[in-house]
Amino acid sequence: MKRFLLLTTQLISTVLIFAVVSVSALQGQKRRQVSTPTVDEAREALSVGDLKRAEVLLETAIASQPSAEVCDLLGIVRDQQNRDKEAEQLYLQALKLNPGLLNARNNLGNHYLKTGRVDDAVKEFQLVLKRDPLHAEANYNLGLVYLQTGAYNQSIAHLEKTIKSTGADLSILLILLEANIKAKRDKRVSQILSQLYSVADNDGKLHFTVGLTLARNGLYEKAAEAFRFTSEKQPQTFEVLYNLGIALYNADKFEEAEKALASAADIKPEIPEVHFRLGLVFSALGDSAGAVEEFKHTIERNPKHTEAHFLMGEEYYKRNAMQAAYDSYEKAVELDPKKPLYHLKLGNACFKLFKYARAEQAYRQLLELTDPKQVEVNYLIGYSLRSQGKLNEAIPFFQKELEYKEKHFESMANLGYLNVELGNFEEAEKYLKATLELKPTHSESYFDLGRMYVKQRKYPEAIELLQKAISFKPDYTQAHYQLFLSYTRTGQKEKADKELEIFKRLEEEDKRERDERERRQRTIDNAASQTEGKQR
Amino acid sequence: MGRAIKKSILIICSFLFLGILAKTTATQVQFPVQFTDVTAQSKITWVHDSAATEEKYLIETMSGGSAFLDYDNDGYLDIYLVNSGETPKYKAKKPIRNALYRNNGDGTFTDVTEKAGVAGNGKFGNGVTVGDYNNDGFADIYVTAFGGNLLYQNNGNGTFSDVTAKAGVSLGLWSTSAAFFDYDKDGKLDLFVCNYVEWDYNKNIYCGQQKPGYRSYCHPDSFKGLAQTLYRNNGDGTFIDVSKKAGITVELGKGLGVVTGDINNDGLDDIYVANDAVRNLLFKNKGNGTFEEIGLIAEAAYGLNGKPQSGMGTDMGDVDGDGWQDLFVTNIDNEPNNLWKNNRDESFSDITVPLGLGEVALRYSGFGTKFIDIDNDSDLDIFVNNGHPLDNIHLYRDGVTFDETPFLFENTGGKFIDVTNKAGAAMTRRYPGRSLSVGDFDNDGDIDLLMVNSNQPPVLLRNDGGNRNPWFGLRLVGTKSNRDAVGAKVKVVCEKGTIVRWLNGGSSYQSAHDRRILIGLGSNKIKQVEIEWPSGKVEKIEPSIGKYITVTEKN
Repeated sequence: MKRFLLLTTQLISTVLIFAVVSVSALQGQKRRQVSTPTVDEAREALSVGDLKRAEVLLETAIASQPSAEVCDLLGIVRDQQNRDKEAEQLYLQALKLNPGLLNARNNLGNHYLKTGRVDDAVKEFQLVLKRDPLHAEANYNLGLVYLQTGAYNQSIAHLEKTIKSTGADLSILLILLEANIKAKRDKRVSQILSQLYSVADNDGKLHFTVGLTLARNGLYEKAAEAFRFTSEKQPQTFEVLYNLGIALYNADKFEEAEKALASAADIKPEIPEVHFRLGLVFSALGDSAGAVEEFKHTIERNPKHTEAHFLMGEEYYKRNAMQAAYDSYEKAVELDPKKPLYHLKLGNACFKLFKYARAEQAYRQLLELTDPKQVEVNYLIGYSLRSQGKLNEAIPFFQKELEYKEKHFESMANLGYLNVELGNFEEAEKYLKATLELKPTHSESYFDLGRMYVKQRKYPEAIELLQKAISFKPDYTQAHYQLFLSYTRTGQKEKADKELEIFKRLEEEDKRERDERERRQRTIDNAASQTEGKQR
Repeated sequence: MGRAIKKSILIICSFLFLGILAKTTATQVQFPVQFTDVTAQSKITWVHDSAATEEKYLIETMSGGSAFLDYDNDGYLDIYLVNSGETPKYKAKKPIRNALYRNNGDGTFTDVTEKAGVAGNGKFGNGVTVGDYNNDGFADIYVTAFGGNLLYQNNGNGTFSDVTAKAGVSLGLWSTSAAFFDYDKDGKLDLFVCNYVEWDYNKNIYCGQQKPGYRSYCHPDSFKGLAQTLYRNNGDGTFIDVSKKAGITVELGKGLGVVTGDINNDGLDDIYVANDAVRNLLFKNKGNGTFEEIGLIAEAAYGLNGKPQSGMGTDMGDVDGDGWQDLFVTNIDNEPNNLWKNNRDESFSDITVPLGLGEVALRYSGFGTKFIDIDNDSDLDIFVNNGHPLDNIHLYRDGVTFDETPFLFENTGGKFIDVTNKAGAAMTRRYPGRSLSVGDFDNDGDIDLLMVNSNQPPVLLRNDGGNRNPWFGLRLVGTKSNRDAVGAKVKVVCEKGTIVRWLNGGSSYQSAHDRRILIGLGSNKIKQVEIEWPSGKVEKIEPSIGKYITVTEKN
């Protein structure tokens, strides 16, 4: 689950970075102004977002006297209008008119970034820096690009240069912080944080932003500190408490996380996600009932919250409340049929409920969604078929599993068992002997071989194998029964009587154990209202 | 060119047409025997009342019995039906009663219950067995019930007398299936009674989930089992309970089905009991008035996984034509039924799966069952009346329902093939099945079926087409042997092998059957027919193909 959250935050961070790039591009334009009345007016119009006026002014200017500056600014207008081709042409025209107009090249780089041509963008930014190594915008932009592409050291170098030329702007510091976290430069991280906090002083909002950056980058404890600071300044703020709760949860401080999220839920109980997070926290605390309660609240507010359905199923499964687990997994599968894990867990729950046909169906869907070499899905299908009594149909699936994993023990053992049942004794012997090579103490394989010899009336061989089974598993009820048969049929009455006595004792114990297990299960299934007797 | 195209189109069309024809023919292939539901035209109007209440008394779901019997010796099979009864929580609008229907010989029946005096005395009835216990030539009726069984002695004039008290066979437990047979070969029918569990209204408990509609009938594990009962016939209208002395009480059971017959060809009838949720019992007749329980060593006690199953109905017969009787037991869903092959050494091998009877039954709960040669092709097929004990099972189990279709498995020599869906529309309907009686009620030479289903009218299924193969029928009358000849063995030596049939006691679930032996011959040519009477006497006879004949044991 933590992984899932991290992935999500990474995605968010990508979007944020690109947003910053665009803004910076405009900021870059603002900083290097060429002063003519028309250009000034157009720039003013652009800065207040009056695109139409800027467009009219610049089109008039370009018609009368096309200059590099005018082309560059009109390129920005076209960029904002998403008239990408025209924008590119205008930047190129600007550079043709004035190859030394670095703003135009920087904007062309930004344009390339916007249109996904990252390599072209980098080339343009590098050309800018060749002419002006301290060009703040180009350094900033390259810093962002390298941060995005995972070249953290290069990113840091360019961002540091930006700071050198423009000073420690908060937004640049935040990005530099992120780059240093990713480059694992802990010392510099601490320095930047001190720098940020000294700038922020009592500004709760900035702490909050820092917290988000830290959380996004997996520094949950530090993020929690930042959020806590904000929370002291802005108590009872949902977003702060909510993020504090998540950070604490990810820092494994579950009890504190519970408090923060519970407070958040008090403020905005209508938000499903806060209940979902609380569910996660309760689950981590081992409070399954609490977790289920919160997942239910989540679902009440968002019936299509797939993860809540699934995780509620997980909680029920842990508590062995299989019917409820099954219902939840079914819902999760219905909402998101593409998640292999959902099908797997649904299949497992079905097994425990003896819904073998449904288990088979779930595993077959899992087979469609996963690589059968990675997951033992053929084995699972085979086992669900075996459980339905479809012995002949089960065999090819176990064989398929063995094709993928030559030594898949359970498949071998099942093939041994099935072939004994079907009377294919040679095949059975082959598989059972193979299982014993892998696990020479596997009592079930000795038992199946012994049982097979009893069926073939080869009693001396059977006795030897059944004794072996019992040597590894002394309370093997059915092995004692088969031994009883073998001794009786070879006239060894005393031994037979002894085995029968053991068998009857074990059978009684098995029954008591089974009854007790079923009683416990009934109690679980009826936690709300106890069942007194076992249903037929 | 134009003509050439037309020609090729025509050729393609004709191929398609042939294809369609072939497909249609394939889907319409039917089993040569069709079962027709003739209940309505038979004028049987009795309805089983399960006495179901929200209390979910376990007795409610187990009731329902039936018998084919010829009570008036007119040569036509009459019908007896067993109903439940009132309980502390269930008061019926109309009196709940058993029913005796006389066969009018024209496909219709007349309700003669009141005149006959066999309505059940208000008991909560379960099942029935039939036998001429006093050797007077008239079929007597033993009704099993909760809280006390009934023995109706046939007076020979269309009426019966309740002789339970005098005979001493009331028991007062929860009895289910029963069987008349002559275990001690004294020429008088003894009586074996299956007893289920220790249960009473004040022992009823809540089972299932505590949600509206989810209360369920309890699993038998919730209650203690009971010993089975063997009564020896004293020959003076009374019986004596010899259960303990005979070794029947060595194991407690939860008996639901019983069949008596010779499993080791020693001429003595043994007893097989299908128990619910505890191991099945096989009592070997030692010939000295006692039995040895050999279920474990005979490997006929457990299912495939070595665990006790929920046995309900049972039968015995020679399915593989080797002259030894095999066993069949029906179980609840999630457990296959069991077909045990007789190894001819007092042991059995479970051949359910290899013979194709394993997975087919896993979603069904079998109650009444019989080995019958449904198409007179000389081998024994299997019929099962299915129905789940829980009326709300669909709430608990995926794909399992209270009402279920029956099973008809055709014996093909090596495997059994499920032909249920091909044997008529009535076979594709779903019933909450309980008892199953078999017999040729229209005397046309094939076996008809009678099913009692929980809380529903009975279903009388007429076999149409089963008599296409040659057959002959025998009504055996014992003289030294018991008059019903229970325990008799008929050997039909043919050119290609021998067909052997036994007149067993009990079988199915809470049901009784035609006492006549109907033998289908298929393509066999008879060389010799031999009767081995229960007395041990062996007699050769000349059968009449296509007819029933009465054979009386020669003194």
